Amino acid sequence: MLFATVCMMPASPTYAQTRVFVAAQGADANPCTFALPCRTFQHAHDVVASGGEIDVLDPAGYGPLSITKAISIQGHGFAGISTSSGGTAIEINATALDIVSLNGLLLEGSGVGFEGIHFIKAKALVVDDCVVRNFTLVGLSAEFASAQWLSVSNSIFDGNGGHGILLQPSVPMTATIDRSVMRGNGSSGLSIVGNTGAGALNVTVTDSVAANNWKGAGDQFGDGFVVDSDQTTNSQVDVLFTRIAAFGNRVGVYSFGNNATVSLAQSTVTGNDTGYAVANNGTFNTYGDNYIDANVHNSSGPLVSISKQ
Amino acid sequence: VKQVLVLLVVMASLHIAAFSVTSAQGQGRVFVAAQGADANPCTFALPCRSFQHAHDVVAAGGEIDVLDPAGYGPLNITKAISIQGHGFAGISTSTGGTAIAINATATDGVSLNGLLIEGNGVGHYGIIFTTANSLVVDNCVVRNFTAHGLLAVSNAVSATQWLGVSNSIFDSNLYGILLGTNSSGPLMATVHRSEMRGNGFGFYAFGSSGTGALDAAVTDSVAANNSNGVYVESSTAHSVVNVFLTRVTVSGNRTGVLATGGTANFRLAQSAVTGNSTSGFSIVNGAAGMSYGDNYIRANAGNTGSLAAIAQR
Repeated sequence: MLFATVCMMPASPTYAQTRVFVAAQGADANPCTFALPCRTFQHAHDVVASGGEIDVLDPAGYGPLSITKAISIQGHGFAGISTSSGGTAIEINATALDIVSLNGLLLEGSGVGFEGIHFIKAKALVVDDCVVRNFTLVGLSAEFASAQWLSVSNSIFDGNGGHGILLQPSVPMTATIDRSVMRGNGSSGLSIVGNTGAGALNVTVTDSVAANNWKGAGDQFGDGFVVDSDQTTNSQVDVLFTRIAAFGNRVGVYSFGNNATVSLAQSTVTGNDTGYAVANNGTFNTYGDNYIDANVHNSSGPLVSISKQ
Repeated sequence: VKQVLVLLVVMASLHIAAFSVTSAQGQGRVFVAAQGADANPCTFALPCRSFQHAHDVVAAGGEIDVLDPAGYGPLNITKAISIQGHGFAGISTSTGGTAIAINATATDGVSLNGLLIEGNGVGHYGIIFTTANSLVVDNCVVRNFTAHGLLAVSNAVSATQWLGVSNSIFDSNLYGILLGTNSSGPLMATVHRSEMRGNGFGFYAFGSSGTGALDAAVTDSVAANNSNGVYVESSTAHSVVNVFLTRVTVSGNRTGVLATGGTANFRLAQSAVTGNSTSGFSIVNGAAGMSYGDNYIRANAGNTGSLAAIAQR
């Protein structure tokens, strides 16, 4: 890569740039400057310095990419990525020291792309102000992921065939999901699964909505928020939901398995087939200040009262 | 089924007829720009001018991308599509016109994001959601229509029909958002982090024309300075309407929250109801209004009826 860069741009120190630019009419033969921007995210990623930033100049599609280092991609709400059939828009497989930031991206699966964001490894991933929609599998998949933490804010995960977001890391992880919506996904809005790891998994979900992830009678899938860890050898998964809304799902909020713990506060659970469910010795805590009504069945399983302090 | 098939055939032949000479057919992403032209292939370099033409050429499930702040004209949506207006794509309407009509198939999902839909006090409808599986409206402004900002009507074509609204503004229309059942089909809606201000009705759920269930969850939103803030209406033998209001501010309206009719229900949680000049809440004609006991209801002219207590858990 260094050779290629040097050959193409002998007069410019591209390999050291910390901010590179992409544009609709750029070209990857360019040095990725504002004046001579590149065309694809992948090329911009390959030339930017580790820890650098890709800046987007125009609304356009910039193609799928594989991220292998610390980077910030600032899409300004108008940078698109579409995928070919079976493709993944963004794969992240960096080092355990790298932090990756995705901001303002429109990831469109068009009903043929497999996954929006496939997160394999980094120190951390943040996803802010993004739209991830219409993938056949998962919008944001952190399955078997290795990372210390993950954070999502102000983002939209709609109409994906599987989960809007799937967190199933193989190592201990903390995650926050704030002010995000997950609507019309096939398997669930948000699933947090402990079955591939053995470490503690702690997730906080605030001010977010999981809605209409169920196609109606006869659909065996389609839950809102799911916490699933059903083997005692697997991760202790502890999820605190504050001010969420679960609406129009098969199960609104689900705690499944010995090592699954849900705690629910100030949340609205309505219009679901089953409001909340507890199965296979899962734990479902309530702070006693939730609004769970007008579901076909409000409850399935015991609530445990816990105190504010 | 026959009608749907005929429609598909007609649509397919229209496509072929209209775009046989361009490579635009089947593009997953098309572009519109202020200085584009509909004779163009809708690429970034040669963008189109109108949303309608871009919609007609983009592949089903594709995306329209907007390049400049400008008006792109009204459109009729007949397929799955995502329109990304980036907060600066306008649509204005002529007198009596509709900015966006959605007449897609029962399985289609439609996404509208970042649009400025302006009625100028003469346009009739901002968005009419008639047929599709789902509509999401995010980061949009819909204002100044003589009838509805957003009208969503159930039909029996699709088993479940749902609407998701977030981070949007519905101001100065006769109806900000109106959800209505018009068949045995159910209609479900979430409204999150949105504002409805200065309308005749801020948020209106109307069940008296249909029998399908009408459910709505409104969260972290504001209905202010409307004639009627939140209006829930149905009648016996018609739709059961459940409107759930959590952390909603209802202020400065004539009537704050009103429910009328034996199958009309609202639930109120952690909400502020204040400064409404006729009544804070009004529960009439056999309707039910329920409170979790954690609402802030003060400084209204009065209330009609009484709130039933329901328990938090």
